[in-house]
Amino acid sequence: MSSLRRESQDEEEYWMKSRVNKSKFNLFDDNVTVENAEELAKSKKLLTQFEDDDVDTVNWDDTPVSSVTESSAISGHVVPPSASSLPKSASRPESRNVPPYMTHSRSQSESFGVTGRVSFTPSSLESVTPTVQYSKSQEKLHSLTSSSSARSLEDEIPSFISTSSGSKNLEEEIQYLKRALKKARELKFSPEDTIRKMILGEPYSLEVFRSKEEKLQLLDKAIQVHDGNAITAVILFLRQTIKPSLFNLELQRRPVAINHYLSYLRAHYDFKELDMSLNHNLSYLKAHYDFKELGDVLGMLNRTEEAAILKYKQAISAPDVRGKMNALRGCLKAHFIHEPDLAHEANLVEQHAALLERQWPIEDTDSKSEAQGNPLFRQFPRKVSILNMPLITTLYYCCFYHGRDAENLLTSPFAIKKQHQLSDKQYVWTALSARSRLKQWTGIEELLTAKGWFGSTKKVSVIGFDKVCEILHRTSAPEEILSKYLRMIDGSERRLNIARKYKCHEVVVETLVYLRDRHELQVYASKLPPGSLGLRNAQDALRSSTIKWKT
Amino acid sequence: MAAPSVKGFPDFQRLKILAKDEFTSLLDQMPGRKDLVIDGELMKPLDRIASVSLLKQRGVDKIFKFDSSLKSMHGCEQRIYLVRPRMTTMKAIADHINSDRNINFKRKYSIIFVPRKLHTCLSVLEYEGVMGCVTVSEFQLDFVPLDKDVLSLELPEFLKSFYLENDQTWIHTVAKSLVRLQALSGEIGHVYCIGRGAKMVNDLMNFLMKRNSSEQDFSRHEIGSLILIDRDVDYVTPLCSQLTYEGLLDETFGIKCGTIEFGPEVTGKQQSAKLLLNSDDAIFEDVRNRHFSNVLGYLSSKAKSLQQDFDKRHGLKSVGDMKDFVANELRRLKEQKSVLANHIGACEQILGKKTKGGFEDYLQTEHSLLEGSGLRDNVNFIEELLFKQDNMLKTLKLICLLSLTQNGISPQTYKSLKTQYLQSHGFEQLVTFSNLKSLGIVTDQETGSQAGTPLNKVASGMAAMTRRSTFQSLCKKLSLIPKSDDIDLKNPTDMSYVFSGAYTPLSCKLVEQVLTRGGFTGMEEITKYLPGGVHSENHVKASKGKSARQDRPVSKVVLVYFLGGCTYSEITALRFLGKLKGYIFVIATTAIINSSTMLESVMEKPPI
Repeated sequence: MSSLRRESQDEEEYWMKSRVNKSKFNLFDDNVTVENAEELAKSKKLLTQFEDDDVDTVNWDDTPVSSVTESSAISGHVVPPSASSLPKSASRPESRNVPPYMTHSRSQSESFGVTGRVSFTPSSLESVTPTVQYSKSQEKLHSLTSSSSARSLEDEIPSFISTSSGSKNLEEEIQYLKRALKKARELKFSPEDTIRKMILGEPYSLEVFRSKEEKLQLLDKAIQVHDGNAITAVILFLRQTIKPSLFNLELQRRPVAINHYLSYLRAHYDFKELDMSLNHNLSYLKAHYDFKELGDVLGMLNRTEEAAILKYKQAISAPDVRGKMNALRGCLKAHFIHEPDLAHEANLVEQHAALLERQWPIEDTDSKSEAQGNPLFRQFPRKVSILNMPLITTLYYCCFYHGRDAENLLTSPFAIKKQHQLSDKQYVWTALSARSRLKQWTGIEELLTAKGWFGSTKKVSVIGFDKVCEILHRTSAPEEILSKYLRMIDGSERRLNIARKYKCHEVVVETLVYLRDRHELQVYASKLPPGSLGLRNAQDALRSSTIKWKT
Repeated sequence: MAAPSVKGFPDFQRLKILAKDEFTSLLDQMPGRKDLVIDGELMKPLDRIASVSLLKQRGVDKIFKFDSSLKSMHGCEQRIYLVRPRMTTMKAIADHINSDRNINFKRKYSIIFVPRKLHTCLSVLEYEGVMGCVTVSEFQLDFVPLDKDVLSLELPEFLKSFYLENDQTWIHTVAKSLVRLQALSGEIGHVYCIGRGAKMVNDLMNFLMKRNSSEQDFSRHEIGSLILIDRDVDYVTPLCSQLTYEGLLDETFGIKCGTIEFGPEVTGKQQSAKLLLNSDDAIFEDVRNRHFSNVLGYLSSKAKSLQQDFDKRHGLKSVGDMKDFVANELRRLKEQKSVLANHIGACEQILGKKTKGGFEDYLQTEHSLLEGSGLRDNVNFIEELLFKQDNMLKTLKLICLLSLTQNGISPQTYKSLKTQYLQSHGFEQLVTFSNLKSLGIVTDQETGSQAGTPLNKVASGMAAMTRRSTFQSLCKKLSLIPKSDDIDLKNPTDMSYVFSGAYTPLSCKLVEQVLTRGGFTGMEEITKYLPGGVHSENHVKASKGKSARQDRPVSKVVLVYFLGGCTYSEITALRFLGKLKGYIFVIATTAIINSSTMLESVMEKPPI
């Protein structure tokens, strides 16, 4: 009993709200019974298909409010009459089944003008009315609501009574109700249901949602259940049906929606790109438009870095080098230079453009020169074009083919180092590799020679002589050259280890002698091939009486 | 109740049979002769489900690999496209259809989306004006059972789509896979979510399953708990060099959908060999989870004993024995021999590659990065790799690890490494760095906390904040870096053996913690460092009186689901943990990844 009262209180609260629309209630008096018919049919269905509809009830808690306040007068009018079915449902254990009729009435309001079901026979009700404890609940309802909305309900009740007097073929009624039920089902649109359908892959339609609020409910519901497909679909529907300023505003309030929109635009851009590459014609403008949209959205959101990177990506996708150079310069000017946060990236894009501007003429000249049979290229044929190669590869190329070029030429390695502010380490490493490959031993010496005070020179290496040896070994330098630089490695133990690694026997022997390690020397000598220089040296040393061996 | 199969593992062959049935009935929807055009990435998964003979039997005439660059295609009057839902794919299909129309060629088209159709795809078909002449259906192929304990969605793009672009499209597929799995093996009682995507999957799964907790009877179910874990909780583990046999096979040759292809250099013959790598291969099963140092020795001893078995034939006395040997033994021995030869060949290849490429120095740097020691030396090592223009992926891995273990790289070092990387490997890699920054994998300590956009700021800011000293704190709290140096790699006692005892995979350690604690309580000091937070749900408690017997074997069956992919090393570590603690782990993942495939998926491709 107490639960009943609570329910009735709820109902009262509910009615208080609906009273807002009360004045409009009788405007569509004709339809009232129609609503009732469907409503009753609906509740009958509810009773029989308990399980089925239970699904809907869950999501309904907050919707009655929105439907009352948001939906138009048309939907308002259906609220009170359905009250006649309300108590009936209240007799069931769940109070939850109250809301579904809201769905129903609301969806009807959507389709009201379209379907225009005027010919509802009032008699249809009589088959329903007797089935459940109708009179009882009606009484209760009456007493409950007579104070607040007496008129509307009293208007209702006589109509019921009068209709029930006219008896019709029962079979017909059932058929009719079945049809009505089917229609009601079809018309049962709510954002929740629609999203559910989308998630389950069932047919759905977004076009029935006309109010902005409902559309946003759709979006929020989709976001709430985390289905990207539904989110994207609703966003695109929104974009199609509301003006851009509103669209942007609502999107900005929902970061998840933004991400999906951007993801869509990216994919759409790829799609248009494909279109372009396949068709090369009309669609370019469209692609450009979508791309602009993507950039604009990023800009709108202050995602400057993302926007800039996006433009950069577009620039480097230009198929020919000349186009790419121009695009890069343009992109740099428009999106990088003026962004203080992107200073470092701006420098890198600048380097990229500069690199292409260097590679372009070099490739042009060298490919011609190669075609003309330049002996340099005949001796070391170019494997691939230098275009689009990384900077360090370009440096290597120039060290290899143009190592002696003057600094004012594009091909000068030193000019590259200067322009791209390469570190000494980067430069020496690459130049050394190239010269070693070319077997320019004097060139290597120059590279590793620093002028000291008073014209004296000494060997220095920014990368360390161990690395020098590594490069020489990798580029298969002869043993005497390797030995020369091995001897420059500081630290005898380290020198010993590296010399052993590269099997430079002379240096190993020397170092062991230096370390006065007779035992190790003996062991090492025993492994050396007979007649080799290393073995001779080792034997000499072992025979020598001037060495004070460690004990 | 379906009989649990081998050693308590739920039987996933049922998934295969279901998928096969579904696919067959889809083929039958277009009766008669037809061509099948398959998306390249679906080839291998489909191979695991249906054989060519089955396709032929169902009227498939020719099988083509889908090629989006083709403007038109030949073939018979009926054609089925089996594709992933992508806009570019739709466009290409529409082009095929339109070019047929232009020459008035009548053909019937059907598009089967795997695993579901997307609104955007249908829009493209509509936009291109071909919607009227195609039938559209779905083939809900989600899990491909790769082994008795491994299920994969074979959806590597999840990582990029979800973590980089924040696109939730594939969350549905993950949730759906779980719904379908539970329809087979019963509802899973305990669900633990680690990370953002994990929670989303759980929410959507609940939405799809309409849970009715009081009605559930968990007594007949085959899986006790589910742990969902986001890849962005642990990017470190997949970036570490794998050292188990299976992991190394994947890193060296690439295991695709559970199969591997050995070239002539491994087989020692003219032709290459395709091997199915799973527990049915007894030799592989014996070595897959071993540390590599412990594989070759085992294989050669195996080879010796095999030779002895072979030699038995010389000792055969009677003709009957001989006949028996030829009939029963010989075939098995020959098969084993060829498998063994392949594995030994593979080991030699791995060994050769690793010793050549300065792998020891690399590994040493990796380990000291994990420990957080010798920072200057590590940076020098990375720079040197850049001077040498050494493998760009290898170098990038170390840069990623440097950033992840240090919560971003100091601004000066960051700029210098980025510049040198771009100079050595192409300025296009600017895009890669931007992606890695968005993912939070390579960040600049200064701007790390400001990464992302105003709208994303909260999320990425939080991520950056929580990453501050995250890794080192987690290492300490979970003792991920074992103290003792002498880990017995042969008879391991700890999961860290998969990384030579240098590091215990964070993801697996979290799984262990959740299971031993029965949830996240008491883990607050740890979970606060995990981006995306944690969440747990218990569906069993409602039926406590009825059947919540914790000691039932099923409660020991744990499904660990990695969103964004997992590595073979992680699978191995979990298998080991299972043996150690008596759990039966089933590993589900969106894809099996390794450091290279993971990075490649978010890298900008070098220009051609």
